[in-house]
Amino acid sequence: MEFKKYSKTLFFGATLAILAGCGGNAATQDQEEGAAGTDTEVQPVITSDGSSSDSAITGEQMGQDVENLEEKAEEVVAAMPEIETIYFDFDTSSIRADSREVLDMHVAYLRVNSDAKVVLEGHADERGTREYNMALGLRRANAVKSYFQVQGVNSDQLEVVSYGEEKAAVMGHNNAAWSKNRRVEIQY
Amino acid sequence: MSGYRYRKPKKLVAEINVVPYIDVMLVLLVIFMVTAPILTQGVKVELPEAVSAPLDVNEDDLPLIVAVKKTGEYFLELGVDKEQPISPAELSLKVGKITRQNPTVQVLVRGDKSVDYGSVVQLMSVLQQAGARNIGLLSQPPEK
Amino acid sequence: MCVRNWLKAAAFSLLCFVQQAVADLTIEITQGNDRATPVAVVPFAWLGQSGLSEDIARIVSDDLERSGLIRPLSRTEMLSLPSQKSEIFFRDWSLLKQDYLLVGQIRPSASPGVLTIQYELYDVVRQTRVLGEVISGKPSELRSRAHYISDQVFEHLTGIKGAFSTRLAYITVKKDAASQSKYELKVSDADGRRERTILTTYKPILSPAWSPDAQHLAYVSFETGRPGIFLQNVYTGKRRQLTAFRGLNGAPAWSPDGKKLAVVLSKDGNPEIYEVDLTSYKVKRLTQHYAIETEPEWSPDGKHILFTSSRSGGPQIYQLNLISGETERLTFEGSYNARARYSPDGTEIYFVHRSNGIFHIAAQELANNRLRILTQTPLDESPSVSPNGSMLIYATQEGSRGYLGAVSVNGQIRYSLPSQLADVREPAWSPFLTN
Repeated sequence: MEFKKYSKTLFFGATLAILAGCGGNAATQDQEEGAAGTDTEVQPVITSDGSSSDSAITGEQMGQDVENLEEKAEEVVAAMPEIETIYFDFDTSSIRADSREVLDMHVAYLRVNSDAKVVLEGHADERGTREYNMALGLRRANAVKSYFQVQGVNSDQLEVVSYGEEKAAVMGHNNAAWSKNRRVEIQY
Repeated sequence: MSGYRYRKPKKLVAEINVVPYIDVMLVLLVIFMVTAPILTQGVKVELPEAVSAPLDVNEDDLPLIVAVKKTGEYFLELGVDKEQPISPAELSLKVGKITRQNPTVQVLVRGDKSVDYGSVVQLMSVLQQAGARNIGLLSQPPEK
Repeated sequence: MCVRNWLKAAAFSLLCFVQQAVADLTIEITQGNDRATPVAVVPFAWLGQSGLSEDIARIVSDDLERSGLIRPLSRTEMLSLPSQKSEIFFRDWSLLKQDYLLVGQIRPSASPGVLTIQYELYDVVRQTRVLGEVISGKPSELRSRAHYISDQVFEHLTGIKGAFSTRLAYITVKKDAASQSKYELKVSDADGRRERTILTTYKPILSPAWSPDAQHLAYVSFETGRPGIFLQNVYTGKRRQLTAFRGLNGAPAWSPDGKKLAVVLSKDGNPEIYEVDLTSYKVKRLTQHYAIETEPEWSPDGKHILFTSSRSGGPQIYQLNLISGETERLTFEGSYNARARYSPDGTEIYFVHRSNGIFHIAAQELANNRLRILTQTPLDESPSVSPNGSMLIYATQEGSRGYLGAVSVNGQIRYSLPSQLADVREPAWSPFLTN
């Protein structure tokens, strides 16, 4: 009795499995593969309403940072910072906490060398539409610009340009490439 | 209520065990699937009857007529070449073109009374290889 | 028991086989071929001396087949090749289950260098001529004449105005010998043939947009190192820079009367939509929000502007009423909906929609906001509608190379355009040509 029940389940299960395996066509299989590929992707969830991006840094933090910088500036003086690129999360222009250190080095340099000019080049990854990414790249560059400005860099030293997804730093269609392409390049 | 009292402790299985039925059905299915193609391999001939019902000549469903003369030559009633005898290879090519577009086309064989049986069978085989599924033989009603 | 199990397995594999065959057939049905009208396009007879450069019947047949609504009969399946009525045996074409028959002749005309092309469309069942014309053209114009014949035949058979004589604009990117990216703005026929390069630069080009008269293209070029909006006459090549504001100059869209452009500028800090008057060069701001506002598109009646805004967090499609000034959000499904285009009758919008992390082209009816996904490949973008509203062309990728795909607005008919060795992107389908 028990065995019969078991075999019946097995039997129908096998029927379904085989039919399902055979019934599909190339198109759906492709889609499944595509979907499987993106399942592994970890996308940052955007919870803020987007307004925080430009003003993500609060006044208090800035005050502290400025003080710290005063001290740091003594040490770095004329050394041009080596790291010139900071990275962003998908579809956001908020400056990540781990980018602050790099930006602060640039702020220190720019404040000491007030004749130095810098172009902030905003970029996006290939996903999404080109013009939206163009705007997103601009917002990222603008976010860096505001950060510099509130830290006391003269706005005459700063120029902003966006290339959207047109100038990828890394070729490729995976998370590793995308994360390297969502960036702002600080070019002297 | 009394029925409840007399119920046996062992639980009855009220459902029909369908597994044997499915087994039988599947075996039958396999048998039919295997035999079905074998059955259609023979030459299907609708033998002309002395008094046969007239064929429906439907404008939407024109028949393709192949004639066989006494000499055993074939004629395909198409286009300008109606009067020209046609080789079995070319016949197969042309009929193939038609059956690919029109798989249910009715192909009618108009054989001369005295044509030898072998060439009719050969024609039917050519037609079937060319994809014709619906082959009929034309007959004339007996004169009264 | 063992034998029975084996038989079961055999039965399943047979069932599988049957199932597979059925699945193949359904693929064809989704391509819309089952209801397509069978039409035999017979090679046109050439009554001149030397060979002809173009095979008109082949071009017509390919055009009609690409529409998905007509199924042309392969040449090799024809029983005869008539070129005029006296040579047609209607019974033969009925046996071939053809509904219509297109025949024609090409011959040199009295004036040198000009050819006379005669085409006739016959209804096979009624055995009557339903369409016919004698046109003329130079040997170099044969492709245009062929597309013209396709337009006439298509409109007669389907009631939909043919869009075979229209053009496509798109951008190609190729690495040159020094592995520099070379950007080219190109214009071709709707079938991707007769490609012409109208701009070559080593800086990005994007967002080509056709003027309503199909004479000019507006596009964004970075050739000066900064983005600028340029206008260029497709036929004379004459061009001028329209905008060079600080920051973004992007996403040009022509108003239906061709007198204004909607553009994206960030001159006031944030990406916003502006209107540029092409006669007075006055710039008027249309949107005001701290979020990203981009990708404008005018409605066919000129009363609304569609745009993408991130005001809800991620990009969504909004519609601005230019008369009342009110803005309405149109898309609610999914977290990424961008770059919308109206159907020519203004009842539907087509846009890039992300579902499960994959970017597809989707359509949404404005009356009921019902969304349907039209494409199946990942990273699909830049939908552009044919002027008759029946097909969409879009950019997609295979491996690392971009190519153009086309899909009917009902999602049933699909084809891809021949892509050369370059990466192809940002297609724009021209309006009907006025000539």
